[in-house]
Amino acid sequence: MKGKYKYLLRMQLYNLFGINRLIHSHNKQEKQRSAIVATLGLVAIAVFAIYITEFSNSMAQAGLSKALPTLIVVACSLATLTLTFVKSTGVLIGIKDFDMVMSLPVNTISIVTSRITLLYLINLIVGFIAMLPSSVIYIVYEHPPISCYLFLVGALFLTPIIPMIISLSLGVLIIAVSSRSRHKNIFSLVLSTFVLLTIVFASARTQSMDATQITNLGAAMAETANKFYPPAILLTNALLNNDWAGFAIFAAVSMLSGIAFVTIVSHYYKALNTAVFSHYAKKDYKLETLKASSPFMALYKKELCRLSSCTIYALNSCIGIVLLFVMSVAAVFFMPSALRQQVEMMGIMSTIQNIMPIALSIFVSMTSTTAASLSLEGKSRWIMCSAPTQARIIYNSKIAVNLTVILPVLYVSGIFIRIAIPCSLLQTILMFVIPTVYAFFISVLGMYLNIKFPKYDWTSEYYAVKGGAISVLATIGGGISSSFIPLYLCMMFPQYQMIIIPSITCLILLGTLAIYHKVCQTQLYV
Amino acid sequence: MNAVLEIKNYSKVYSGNKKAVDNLNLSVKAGEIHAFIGHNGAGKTTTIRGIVGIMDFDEGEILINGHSIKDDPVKCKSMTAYIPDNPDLYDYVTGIQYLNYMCDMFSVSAKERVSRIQKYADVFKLTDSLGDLISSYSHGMKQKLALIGAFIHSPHLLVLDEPFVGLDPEASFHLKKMMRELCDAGAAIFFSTHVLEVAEKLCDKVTIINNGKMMQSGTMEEIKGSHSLEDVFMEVVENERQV
Repeated sequence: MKGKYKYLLRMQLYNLFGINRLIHSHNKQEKQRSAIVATLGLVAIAVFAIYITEFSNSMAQAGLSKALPTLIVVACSLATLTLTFVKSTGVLIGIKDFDMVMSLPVNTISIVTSRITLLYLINLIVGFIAMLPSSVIYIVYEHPPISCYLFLVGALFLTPIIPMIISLSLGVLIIAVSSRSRHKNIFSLVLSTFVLLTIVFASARTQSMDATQITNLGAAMAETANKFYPPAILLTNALLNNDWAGFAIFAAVSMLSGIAFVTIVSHYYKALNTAVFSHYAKKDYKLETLKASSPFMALYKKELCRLSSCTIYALNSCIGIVLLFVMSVAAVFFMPSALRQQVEMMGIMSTIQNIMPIALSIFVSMTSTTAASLSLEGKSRWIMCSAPTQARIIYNSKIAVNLTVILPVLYVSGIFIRIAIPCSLLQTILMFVIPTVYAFFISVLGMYLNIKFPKYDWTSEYYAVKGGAISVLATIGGGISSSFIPLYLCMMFPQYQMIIIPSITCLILLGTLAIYHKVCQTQLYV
Repeated sequence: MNAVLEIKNYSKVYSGNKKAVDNLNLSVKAGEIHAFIGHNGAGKTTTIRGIVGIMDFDEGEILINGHSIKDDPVKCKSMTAYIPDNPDLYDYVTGIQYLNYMCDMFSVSAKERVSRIQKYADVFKLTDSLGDLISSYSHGMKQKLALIGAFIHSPHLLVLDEPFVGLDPEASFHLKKMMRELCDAGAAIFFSTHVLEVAEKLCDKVTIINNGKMMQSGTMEEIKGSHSLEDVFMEVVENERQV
């Protein structure tokens, strides 16, 4: 079993980071593209690692180094929980090569284990980036006993397991429940969005500490972690109090939960996949009148179908705007009056009113269906390429879908926020205009990057949407930076807010026009 | 008869210096069915992809009804229907949504599309399943749907890559009949196949390609003479191997 599991895993890894393509492709362009992807990936890792290091270092300098172990565990667990949930089902269930893999002379446990190992390795990389810098700083500041080194190494490898299993279980459960429904994609999308919002809000709650809690950060985080995630306490105790028994229990619980999950899923693997692959067919169609549309409308409708039919695509690309909507509703109906009074007393209301357009733009710039829209054409891209229409119309239809997702929700959310926060007429207008500019920017940027870095050879939509899909990562990275930088500048130089915001918006608008011009000039080939 | 498809000095280099297709010249006139045969990797699909404008090329010229696929791709594509060797369709739409989409893309009027869909879907016995998602279709059903999508806009040029693979005998029979009817109406058909018996019975002209180079091209009678097409093909390949 072990040998064949190794082969299965190796085949998965070939597809994941594009290393195999980089080594074996004779196409110069493809090699260049892979090199750019690798460089961008390394830059992203470096930025994330520097941020974590800086944050941990400031905590240690403030005398809060004892809180670092908790921070390490919580940060890694939350990252794993969110990332795994978003990608879980696409890697494990409903994969395109299911028939081929299941026909091989390997047992189901090997197949499931190879798939889960792949997810574990991805989470391990994320975990290493999240945990390693903090661990080093903890060692430098606290000079812990030698046993602590062992615990830290163990923590690096074990911490991702439980959150990964929790996320995978939720994903599999959603598939099992929704597969009974005729509209399983929509059902799965609604359930998945609900779970993801719960995870995001739970993690936001762990970070929403008031001033008193911040002065006692370690205790506050330990208390929160204890409440939401008991295994974190076992590990924290082990690191802080040299608790061997606690660490042993943590290790045992992590590994046993992994083994139990693999065993249970292996048992139902065939049934779960059969449910996913079985399709409702009525076979009673009667041909009636058909409505003709323009090529643009035909492409647009097809794109909307694509978005609603693929849970992982919709969940990944639309979560930003969904979060904005939920938060705007919360701002109107659930914002405590005490908080509102506190904001007014602190005299920061005018700052909030001024930066609100950029704050909304952050959520907008996290929403890009275009970044994966071309990749998702996959093997059926011959239809798009051979259609008698200009490539520009195809791109426009994909951009229009992203605007359809963003703009209505943005305007409704804008109205809610306007009700929650009183603003002048100019501030209100900017609150609608600036995020609209960002909506066009992120749509066009996503399209451009996906044209530059398409990923057509996927076996599961996950690989087009997330795994190694540099266009998605670069779009979200570019989008968020474009809104975070002006926000940061506004906070640093509040006296220049009304210069910074319009200037950067104009730059974004000009950038959008330039990128769109470039997009329109690009031809489409298979 | 005017040439619907003209390929002039077409070459395609993928990477390195090896030419996938080397200086190919051929033409397909209106009313002709032209078979394109060769072993795996001979350059058939590379040629077909160039014809239908889904792959860029550096050398040569491809004209459809006198329009260059390089300079006027939209015009050329509007006159052409193409089906690849393994037609992956949009699994997330229903059969009728796919056909309606193809009609929209090729500007088939609302009135005409209903009668054409009815005609072809009835021929392939697919009408009842048109309301179901394509993901629920078998491989053969997808192939039939792709064929309907190709015939539905009455193309001037039909380009097919291995069209008979995966079709049941009845569907193959109907496809051959539909191909002949389309040509009788003035269209031209260019298709690749490994089924030499079909090519021999169905086609007016044949081109044999080997390692990217055209070995023989002409009417079926000129090429095969008193032999079978299979004998001719084997002889060409064997001679080339010895060279």
